Amino acid sequence: MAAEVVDDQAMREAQRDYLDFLDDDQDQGIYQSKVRDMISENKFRLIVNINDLRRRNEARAARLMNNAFEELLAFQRALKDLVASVDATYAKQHEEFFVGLEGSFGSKHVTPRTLTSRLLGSMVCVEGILTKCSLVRPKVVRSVHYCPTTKKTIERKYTDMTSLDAFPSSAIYPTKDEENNPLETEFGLSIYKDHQTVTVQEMPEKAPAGQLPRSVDIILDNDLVDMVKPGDRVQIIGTYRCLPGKHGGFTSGTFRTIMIASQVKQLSKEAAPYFSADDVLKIKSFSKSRSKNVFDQLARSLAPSIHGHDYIKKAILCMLLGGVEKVLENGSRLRGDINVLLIGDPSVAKSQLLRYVLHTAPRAIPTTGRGSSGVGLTAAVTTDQETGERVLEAGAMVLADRGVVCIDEFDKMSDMDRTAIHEVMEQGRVTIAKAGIHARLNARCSVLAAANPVYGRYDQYKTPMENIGLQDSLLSRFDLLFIMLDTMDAEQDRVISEHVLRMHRYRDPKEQDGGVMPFGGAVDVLATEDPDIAQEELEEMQIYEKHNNLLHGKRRRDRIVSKEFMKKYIHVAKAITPVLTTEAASHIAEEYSRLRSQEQMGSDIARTSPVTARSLETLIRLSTAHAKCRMSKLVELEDTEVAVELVQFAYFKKVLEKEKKRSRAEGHDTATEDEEEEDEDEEETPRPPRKRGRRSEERRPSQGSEPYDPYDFTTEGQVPQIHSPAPRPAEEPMETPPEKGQTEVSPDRLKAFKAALLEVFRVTHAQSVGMNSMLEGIAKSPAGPFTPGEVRASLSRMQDDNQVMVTDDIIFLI
Amino acid sequence: MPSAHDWINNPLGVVEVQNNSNPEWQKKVVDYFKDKLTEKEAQTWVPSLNDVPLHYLKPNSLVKFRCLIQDMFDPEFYMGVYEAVDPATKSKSLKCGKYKDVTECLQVEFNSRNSVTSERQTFYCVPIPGESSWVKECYARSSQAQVIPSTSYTPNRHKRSYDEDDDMDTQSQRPRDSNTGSQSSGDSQRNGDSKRQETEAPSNNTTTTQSCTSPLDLNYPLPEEQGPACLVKVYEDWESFKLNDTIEVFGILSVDPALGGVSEEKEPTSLLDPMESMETVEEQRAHSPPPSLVPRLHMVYALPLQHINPLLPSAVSEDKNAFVTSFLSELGSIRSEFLAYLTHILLGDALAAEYLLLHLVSNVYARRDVLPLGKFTLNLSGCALSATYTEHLYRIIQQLVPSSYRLPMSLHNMNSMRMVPRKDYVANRLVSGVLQLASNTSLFLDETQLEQGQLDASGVRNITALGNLISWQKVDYDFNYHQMEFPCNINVLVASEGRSLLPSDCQVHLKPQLAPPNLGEFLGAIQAAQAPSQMNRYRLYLSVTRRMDYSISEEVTKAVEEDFVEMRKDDPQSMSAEDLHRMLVVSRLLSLSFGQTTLSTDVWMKTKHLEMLRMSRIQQQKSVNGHEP
Repeated sequence: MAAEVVDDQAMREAQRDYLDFLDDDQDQGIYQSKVRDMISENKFRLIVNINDLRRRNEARAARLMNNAFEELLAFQRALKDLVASVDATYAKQHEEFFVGLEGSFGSKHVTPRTLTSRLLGSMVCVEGILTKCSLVRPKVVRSVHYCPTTKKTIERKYTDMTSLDAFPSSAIYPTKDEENNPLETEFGLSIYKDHQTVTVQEMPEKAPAGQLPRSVDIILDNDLVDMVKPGDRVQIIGTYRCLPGKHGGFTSGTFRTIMIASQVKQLSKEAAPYFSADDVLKIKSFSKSRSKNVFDQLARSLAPSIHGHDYIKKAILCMLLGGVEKVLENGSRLRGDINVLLIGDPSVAKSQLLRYVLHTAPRAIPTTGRGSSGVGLTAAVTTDQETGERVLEAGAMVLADRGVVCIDEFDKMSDMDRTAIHEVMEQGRVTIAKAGIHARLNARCSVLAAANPVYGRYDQYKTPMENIGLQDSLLSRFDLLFIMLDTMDAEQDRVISEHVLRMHRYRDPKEQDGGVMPFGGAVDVLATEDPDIAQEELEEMQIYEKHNNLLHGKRRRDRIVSKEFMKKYIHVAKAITPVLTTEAASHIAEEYSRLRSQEQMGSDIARTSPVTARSLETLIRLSTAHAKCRMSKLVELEDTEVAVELVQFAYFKKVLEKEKKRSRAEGHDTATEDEEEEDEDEEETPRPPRKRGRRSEERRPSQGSEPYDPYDFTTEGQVPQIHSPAPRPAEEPMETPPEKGQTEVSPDRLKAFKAALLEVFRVTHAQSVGMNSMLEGIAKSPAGPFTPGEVRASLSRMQDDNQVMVTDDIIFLI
Repeated sequence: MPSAHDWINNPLGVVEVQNNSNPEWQKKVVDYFKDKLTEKEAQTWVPSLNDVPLHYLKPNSLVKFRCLIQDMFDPEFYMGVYEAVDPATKSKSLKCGKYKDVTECLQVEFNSRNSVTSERQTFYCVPIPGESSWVKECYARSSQAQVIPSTSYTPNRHKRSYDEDDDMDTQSQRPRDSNTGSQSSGDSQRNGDSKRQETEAPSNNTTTTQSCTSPLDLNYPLPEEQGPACLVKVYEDWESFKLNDTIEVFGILSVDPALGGVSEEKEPTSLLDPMESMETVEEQRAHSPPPSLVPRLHMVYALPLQHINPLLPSAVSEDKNAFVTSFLSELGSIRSEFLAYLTHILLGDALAAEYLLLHLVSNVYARRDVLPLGKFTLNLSGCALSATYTEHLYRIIQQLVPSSYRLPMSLHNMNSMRMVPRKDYVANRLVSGVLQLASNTSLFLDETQLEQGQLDASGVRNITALGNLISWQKVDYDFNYHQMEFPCNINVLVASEGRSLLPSDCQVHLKPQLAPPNLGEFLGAIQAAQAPSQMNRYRLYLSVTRRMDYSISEEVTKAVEEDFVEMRKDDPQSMSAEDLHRMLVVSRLLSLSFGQTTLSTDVWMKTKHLEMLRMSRIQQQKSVNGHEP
């Protein structure tokens, strides 16, 4: 008895504390107003942030966490008191008021796996996927019975193990009173509550490798029922308790554990990896490190088991990062997703690349062109066999919304799917109008597809278009198209063989025979804290894979970024939305027009896919992705350069000429793709003979240091953004006088030089001028003599801006 | 002090003794059993659930079980220590709930401050799927357990036992005198016995009725599987066990009939029973099946099994190394004999025999990114010699490997079979599929059975699953809302008429040199000609070579590199990185099959030779069939 009195006192004290906390008029009045809101919205659950309570009354908060039942009961009573003081009639309408918690739960933020017996009786926050929902059933809270003989009414309250009261009431539903008179139940007066049980299962990415995911049963009452449906990712906060298991007549000695929810939150579909402060620091320092090219390094670390294919890896990295999506005012959408198509001979590791992406991308759905079932890639209306109801079933692309869909054997796809995919790839949604169902589903996914050439093997003597055998409309939707060929080159072969051999020779020293390396099992940092502290230290994120001479070769420079780090880095980088600088925009516009004009180049280089206005968007997307990779908020020239390089590589493919012409092919026939790429550079633009490498070297140091005139090129800057389909003539920059030219990165001297040069041209009245006479001319200019270095730099600068052209020491004015 | 065999017959008594004497008893109990079991030959004294019918085993005695973890249930809380109230005297006493399913008394004081709640994990274990009969026999023969059939044993029970002929053997071997070694076990055991006798009859009835009305699905991965399934309760570091692990569990058998979840006398459930809506009937059936069918085993010790070849000395015995070295010395001769045997079986085709041997030795030894290394899926084409040839071939392979399964890829099978395990959320269990197999199981896919026709959606899924298994050695288990990848290590052999529709690492077209009039008789004769001891040598050979270590030295690496570049120069079309990859696998397996642990140039040359022969044969085959390459 004594103990109970103490309990009672403690209870009252707790209730007073909570009332103090809620009645925060003197403080900020947050909860006062929250309670008022609750009343006005006719709700009976108040969400309390545990952090607020912790700030006000730390001891109480700790007790609430550890001794959830009694404390929560006190809390709810306090709430009822407060409601009664605010609005007495409202308080009478409802039997009970509830308190839901949110905030930081620390060690009590768990997954079903880490929900241990230690946490029984505490307030916990469980995360997982909802896998099973029972029907919503009414549960009697209070029954009212009327006895016709005695004309009396009896009222009875029911509580069971799932309610907060410590002692369950008698569970017998009265049908007779003490004198055995029959009772009638007054259903209208009895009170029922909604009741539902759900099962939450551990998220697949958090289950350790080789273990089955665990689950926990959760009870939802009152307003919490039906808030979630199976398949949702949820966060449920509630009290964890166990019920003694009683089977028939014996006691099994085991308990059943359940959680009684007090708050349900839906999580976004995206499974966010956990970041520690240290991680963020590492990511930051990695992105800032000047010594290396972040983009190249990350690209190299993609699928390290596959050798070579650098451009493809770069493209895949861009795809993982994505561009920036724009929704225009008229509702149409410019996609930010980057689609990549790989076409190539059998056995060039296409599928392996796909497989790798599946493991790196946060949301990736694998499918094959021919293997997909009736639902296909987009969506289908099916008829439920049992009920005959029509059901909308989502296909792979819908499931991969905001992710990547990897389609293998793209060429084997049925025509129906192929037409359906058109809309999805550009608009990012699926429209269904079938069987009385009209629906529009989001499918904003990047597509990574792999296909075999039409003739099984790539035919060198046919154009790429013929080899690919897909219609233009579909091809133009792919940003980048790569032809992966099995080419031969001794040096290349050596590297490949070295790579394969390394893989075969390497053995993880810790690994046991036939052991399986943990894969994709992200460590939940919240969860690792108590079971294995030692392990956690091991799991501390490494930026680089441990270097192993046997595995990675001897070159220290090629450090491989660990997959875990890569995932996190991509996650962070993806969130950035860089904006185009005018400089980058003009570069893109210029390159685009060059691409268009290159179409007519003919000769032995052919396009792999049509250059359309979509290519312009492609350039923007790729540069944006690269800027994201640098964690830059601006898309700058270096980004566009990489994008152009990628596009150049992907769009053109040399075709070998038939035998008779072959002798004239200037020994290009044995060229590897890399060589071809360089060949292209030289051949494609005979007029300005510039080398990409040199240009970037020159520009980079001056990056951002010079002011530029933002008004000068505004029109150009905007053109790519509003997606003008009109091809822009490459000569346009000529119309702007050289004096006002793109001085944004050049020093004042350049301006002076340009003025001097123009003067020379004016004096000679010619379109071209010899180098020597030019030098003499500018020496007379007021800006003073220019050093030869300055002249060279300025000329090449202007040349890049398409203002002049230098060949054989003759300067042409464009 | 408990006597020598007491720890087998009455392990709970041992637990009790340890419990009373020491506060750190939990650890001591585990250590005690571990010590006992690592003693020489001690393991063979423990009766095994695999070869002794359940009704021969005493409840609450120590038994062992060689099994595969098929499913993992949610953890379970139990009363580690509880206070029991004697209804007669009202006296209270503390009892231990570990290693027990049911509390020992009628009344339990729930609200006692002395009770301790502990956690344990339940695994659903099944016998190793596809275990060959020779493995079972061999294990049964080596067992020295003294099994005393309970007195209520009647011959008509025999219908229920799972391997009948084996049963008779083991029974005759076992000494019948029921008094040896169990004298000192005292009262508790006799109580157990009598209790068992009482409970035997009704439990037996229920199972028979159940088996004729609705047989409880015991969830074996393979359809025609038999043997006891078991619910293993794990008390210590359950995190170290993974799904599909093969383990040998030593545990205390519990068959209390009260555990059967679906109780007959369902008492009028109270209106407010919170449990009611929590557990569906299906779940109850899956999680608490009748113990006479699915006994409970409280694990005291578990031995992870690297292999299940009974001929290989177990890992604990110290003479293992000596054994291996002595075996290695005669490896060469065994190899040639074995090769000759395989050549006969493959009707005189030595090349195919060579590749079959390599296939049988293969083993996934590591993974790089997503790529499994060491797998060697063989596609044996040209197998449609006669209707039954593939079946005979499988029987022979079955005789050689510890576990195997033949999957006739008929259209019906492909469309109707459940290959990928699927989570059944209603019953809350993992419904097994054919592809839930233990490591190193040989999967024999018989594509000659495939006829023309339409594959439906599940058929396409099954084919995809098989393809994934072959290419990545992974099975995507279906969790309805998502999939989960489980790595596996299964040797897949595809027997087909032409090139298989499934991917494979290597295709060999069978070229019979002989054409015996009666294929079945011919193969039977070859098999009969092999003495059992010879067969054992082959079995040992396969297990030993598969487990050997392997490396490539620096010099050979260089040589191979040079070689590859050379080969590319000659013929870039037929030599890609993938070909190199395959050749390295072949050379690895070839080295191992000779008992060499490093790659030598000899073996490399031999590899090249083999591959060349194989390629030319494929080319020939293509030109015969009129296909252009």
